[in-house]
Amino acid sequence: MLAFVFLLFISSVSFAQRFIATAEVKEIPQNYTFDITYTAENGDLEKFTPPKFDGFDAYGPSQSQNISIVNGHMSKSMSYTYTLQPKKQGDFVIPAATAIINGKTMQSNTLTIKVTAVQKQAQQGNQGYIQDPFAQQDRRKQRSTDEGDIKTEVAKNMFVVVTPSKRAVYEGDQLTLSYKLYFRIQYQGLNVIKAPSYDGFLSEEFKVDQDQEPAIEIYNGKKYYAQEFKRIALFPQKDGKFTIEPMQFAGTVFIQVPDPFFNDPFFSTLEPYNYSFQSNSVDIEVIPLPKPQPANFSGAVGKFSFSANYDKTKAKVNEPIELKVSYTGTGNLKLIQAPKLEFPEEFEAYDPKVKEDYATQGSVVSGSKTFEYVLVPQDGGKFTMPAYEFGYFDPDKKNYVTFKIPETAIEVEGTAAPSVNLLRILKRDKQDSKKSEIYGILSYEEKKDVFFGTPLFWGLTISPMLLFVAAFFFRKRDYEESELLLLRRKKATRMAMKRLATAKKLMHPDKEKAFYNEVIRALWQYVSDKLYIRPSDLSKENIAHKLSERHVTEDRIAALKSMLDTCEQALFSQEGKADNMQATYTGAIDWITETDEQLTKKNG
Amino acid sequence: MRSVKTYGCLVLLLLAVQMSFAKSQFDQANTCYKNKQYTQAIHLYRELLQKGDHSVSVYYNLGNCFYQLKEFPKAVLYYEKALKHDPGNEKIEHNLKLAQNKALTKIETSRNFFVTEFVRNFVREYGARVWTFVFLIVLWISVIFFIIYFNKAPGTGYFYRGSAITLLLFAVLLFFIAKDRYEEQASFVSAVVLQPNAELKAEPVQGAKTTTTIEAGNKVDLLDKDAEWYKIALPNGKEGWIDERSIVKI
Repeated sequence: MLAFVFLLFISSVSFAQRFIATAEVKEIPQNYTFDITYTAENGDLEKFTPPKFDGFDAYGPSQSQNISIVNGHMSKSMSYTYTLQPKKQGDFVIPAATAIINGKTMQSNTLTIKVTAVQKQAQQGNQGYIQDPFAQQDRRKQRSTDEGDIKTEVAKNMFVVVTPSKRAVYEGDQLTLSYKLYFRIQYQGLNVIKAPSYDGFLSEEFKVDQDQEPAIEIYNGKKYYAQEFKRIALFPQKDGKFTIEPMQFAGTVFIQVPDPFFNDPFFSTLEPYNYSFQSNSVDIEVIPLPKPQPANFSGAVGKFSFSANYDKTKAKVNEPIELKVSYTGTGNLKLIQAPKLEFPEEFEAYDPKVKEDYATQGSVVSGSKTFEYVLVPQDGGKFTMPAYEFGYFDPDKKNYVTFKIPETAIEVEGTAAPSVNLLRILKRDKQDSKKSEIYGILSYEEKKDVFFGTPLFWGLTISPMLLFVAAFFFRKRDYEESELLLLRRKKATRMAMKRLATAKKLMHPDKEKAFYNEVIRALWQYVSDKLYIRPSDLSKENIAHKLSERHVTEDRIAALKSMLDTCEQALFSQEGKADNMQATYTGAIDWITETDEQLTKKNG
Repeated sequence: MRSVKTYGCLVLLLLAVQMSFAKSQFDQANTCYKNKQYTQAIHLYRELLQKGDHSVSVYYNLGNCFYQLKEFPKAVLYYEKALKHDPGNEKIEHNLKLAQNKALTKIETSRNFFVTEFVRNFVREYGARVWTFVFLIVLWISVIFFIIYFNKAPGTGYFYRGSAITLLLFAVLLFFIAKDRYEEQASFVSAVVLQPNAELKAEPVQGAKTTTTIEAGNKVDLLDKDAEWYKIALPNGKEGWIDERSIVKI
């Protein structure tokens, strides 16, 4: 058995020992990292001395061991891997490393690396931990498994630093807090347990690129991976001294636990360890804004530029005019409120539309805020739009700055619709009181009755109705009569024409009397109906009087008289002439038609 | 006969005493107000209200007291109550507007169709009392015109008849306006929210979803009631249920 082991040992030894250096690449852009691996094959590596990596930052080494037994032959290789970050461009020769393998000093090959210009970095997998040989050394000195010691040990290798952009800040000015995780050990699942509340501040969080490769930074003389995971802008709301509480974290880290038997990092293993810790707290002093504050101070603090433009200075009635007031710059833009502008009352002004655009990248809140007013002129004329002042505090200049919109003249063509004018007058009545104080108290006044629904009210409502009914009945007879008369008047012309038509049929020498009788009746009836003359009152004088009262011309009245005479003569004398009948008939028709016209024309 | 006289005298005396008492307490409250003892003044005015003296001046002065104490939602409430009894009073309107401005960061409003809004505002400008008088005047003129028409000769007086009919129709409209205003003033149709950030619920149940919150000092219309819940409409048209303890009726 012993012989066999010995044999095995011998056989393994019999393989040639090799010590090789290999580089991942031959050529590398300056901003990339690459690995160099030193491998000792078929031998026990007793001592390894890395070369000087001139022109590179080296991290590591990480060790790996590979033992395989193939066909009873054990092959064993061991390697040290360094990650190199080029410092400058050029051709570099990495000198040979020295190792003692199986008691024999061996040298590796040298490597030539060409470092080329900086290239845009594609994502390069390099997650892990930094193995600073010096750190390794440190750890080796302090190997301990004691819990407290582990904690202090881990705390040295992983912590969060909060850095404020300034320690003293003006009220309302921006302050940026940067949360950065420094680590040089592996971790897994790091969570924020408690975030600070930022009482007394308005906060605005920036977008932080979480996927970004952790950068390598030196902190307190040691190299760490550093990753900023939170950046937040704070705007203090009041003056005084504030402490921003620490942020609390919990997660799992992997620590190297040295092997209890071998006093060698090579045998150490990575073990998970639950670690909770907190960041530092930050003291901030908020300085009050200098007094006195100008009257136009808007509360904005930062650096702003400001513009206000009317899209036109000439418009027509009802044609909308747009006013854009925009603020751009850095600072607490969100707090800027719409300017209070008192437009002339001839303009219908709507609440401004607000457009906001903030950049939340970088470390300064910047952007623009625009208020768009739409003004619709209701009346023509020349108007003066109000001036406006915007005052803000510039923390760099430590002074207040004022921007002004001057008064703007706007000309509106056209005139308002009268209804709009009236409404405006009514409105103005209401708005005239610009008193900012309330009116004083009133002296005693008895409660007024509403009056509606009281007996007196009903009495006053119902009595006119009774009055109406009474009046109606009182007039009823006359009213009916008048209705009849009215009807007759309306029908007068038609009735007369009807009689004349009958007369026409009688236009025959035998029926002379009947003919004249019809004509005379037609005329009397017409005049009686038209002029509301009672049949008993009908006489030639009476008719003439009434007709002239109704503005019928004298010749018409004379014509009527002569016609009536003709008819009477024909009726009461015995002789008659047929051709006379025709003339009388047409004369009567003409007379009625013309009188009708005259009556309607003059009397409506 | 004698006893009736004595009794009548006594009643008159009692009335006079009560009146003068109300007046003296009112004056006392006004003195407190002038001495800036607003809390004391409020106490005295409220006592008057409890005694049934709901005059405009009591409500208005209470509004002023709360305004001075910077309790703006309550000031809004009492100004609204005063305005309900004396619509169109410019002093009350002015003070109410100031109180609203102080109480509310934004006043919920909706833009109605212009004419409708105008007509409604015009109607609301005057109380039932004014509308009633206008109605009676128009009605009487209408009847007088009818009587004139009846006494005119047949076929004439059409102007009077036409005017009388128009005025009568107008009087009918005015009657309904007056009735509407009267009913509005006699009942509770609106309220003021006093609870800061009162919750407007989708349903009249404690656990119901909150649709929005209302600032104290907003005036709302009362639409319906269900147990301790009122269905209200905000000035911007939104409707929902609110706990009756969050509001006070005007």
